[in-house]
Amino acid sequence: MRNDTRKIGAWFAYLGALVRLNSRTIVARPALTLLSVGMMIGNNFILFAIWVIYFNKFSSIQDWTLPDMSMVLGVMAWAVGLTFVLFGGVRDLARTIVNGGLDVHLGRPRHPLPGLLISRSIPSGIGDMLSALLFWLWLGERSWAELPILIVVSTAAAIVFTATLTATQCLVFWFPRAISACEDVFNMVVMVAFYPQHSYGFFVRLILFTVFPTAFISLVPAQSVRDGNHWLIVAMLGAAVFYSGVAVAIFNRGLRLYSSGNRILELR
Amino acid sequence: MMATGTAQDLEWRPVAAFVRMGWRRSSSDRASAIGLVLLYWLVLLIFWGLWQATPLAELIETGMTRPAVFRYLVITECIAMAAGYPYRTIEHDIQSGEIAAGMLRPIPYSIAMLADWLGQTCHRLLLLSIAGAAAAIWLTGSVPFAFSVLPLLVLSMLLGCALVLLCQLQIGYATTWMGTAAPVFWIWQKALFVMGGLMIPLTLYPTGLRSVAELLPFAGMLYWPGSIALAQSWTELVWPLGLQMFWLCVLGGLTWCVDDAAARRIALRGI
Repeated sequence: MRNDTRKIGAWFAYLGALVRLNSRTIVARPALTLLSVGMMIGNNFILFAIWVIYFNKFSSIQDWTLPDMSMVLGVMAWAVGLTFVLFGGVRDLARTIVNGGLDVHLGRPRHPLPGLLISRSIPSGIGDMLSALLFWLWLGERSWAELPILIVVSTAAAIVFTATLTATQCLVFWFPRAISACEDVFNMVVMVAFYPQHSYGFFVRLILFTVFPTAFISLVPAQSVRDGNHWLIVAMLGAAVFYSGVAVAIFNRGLRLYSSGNRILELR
Repeated sequence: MMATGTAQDLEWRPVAAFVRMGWRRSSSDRASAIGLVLLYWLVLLIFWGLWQATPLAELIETGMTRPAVFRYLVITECIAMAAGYPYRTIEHDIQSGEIAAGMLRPIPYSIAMLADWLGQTCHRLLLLSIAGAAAAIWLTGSVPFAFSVLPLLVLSMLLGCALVLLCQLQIGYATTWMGTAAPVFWIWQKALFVMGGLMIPLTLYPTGLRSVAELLPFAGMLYWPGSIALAQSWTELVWPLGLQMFWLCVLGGLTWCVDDAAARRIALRGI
């Protein structure tokens, strides 16, 4: 029992060390970080303009109005931002696998996936997280009291987002030339999560709740806070655990097919 | 005469070879092609769902119908997805230093890149056009354009893609100065979505914003090709095509300047 506790403690210490090392990249080039943060906030607000234009012409989308869409955008921004700050390596996972960069991580005495995911931190993620606060508290008209629950469900959404990206980037284990497809999938996940998914038909919703779980990246977390539905919050936490497990299983399965050795010399 | 002809052949042959190579690369990557078509259909279904959820009475007040908006979206989304995100190639080449090898080729790096992207984009455009037409027939029960405007629609879509590629080339070169191109790309992409009318036709925008947006290059990339799909006569097509041609010249010149500045900076300071 004590041995297990020690192992879990060592595992978390390892993850903590990776995160600390990774976060140094953010402060290494402060000017670039500030530029990225500022431009990401600008980017999110330009995107929000689409909904301002839409709701200027139309009253609602099946009872959802501009503040609701602001909350959706905030949840998504938090999920994407947190993923990029903590697990920025997921963005280049497919390229790393194809280029043989996995060798460096396979040589370590730990599972390679955490090292791969926490190998890079993307500073613009901070801009996403800051704009999430503005979307919730200012444009979304949510109260400060709702902020903790918004952060909890949005963090669960970030885990689902990371897991989805990990699983889709692992496609290159089977299809090494599918790097551009992985990039398309990433952009599509972000794009689909941006739209109000509560209005879709059964077939589309089935896809969005299963193989392409964007519903858990924006719709469910936003709806759980909007409707004050505790079951949806539980569903979010369950989805975070489930999709993480699926991502690890797919990665492990793909890893069996990996046979590169072209970067092993970097370990020397 | 003979000598001139040969010289011209020598200039265009490698460019054509890059276009062919891009086309072949895209067509040989079947997994990506299938994934792209499935994603395109998914996005179209989402847009269809979105406009189905829009109050019908309010939509009719604007003079639009759901099928008309959907036909427009088939075109705009087709262009946006066919062009993809090629700026990342240049960003990667500059960050990794691989651009040095590219600059040693007998044809300029940017021309080679553009030709390669054009080949890939044309293949994806063909694929997505067929998929989009099928989706439009399935969901709206009608062909997404009048057959009389088909040749000009194709031309306009190609011009739209060319404008997107020229912008992405310049965005990729931003890496030379900023170390990364991503922040510039985000802003440009979102400006394209909003001012280009990716999701909402510019005709539904407030009058002031619409007047400005229609004149910007973003409209030439998405809105004008999309509006051709709604056009019923040839006379409606002159203005959009003229604007697209104008922006092609402007962006072409700008790309040449950015390419030149980036090449000089790389030559002077290294990578």
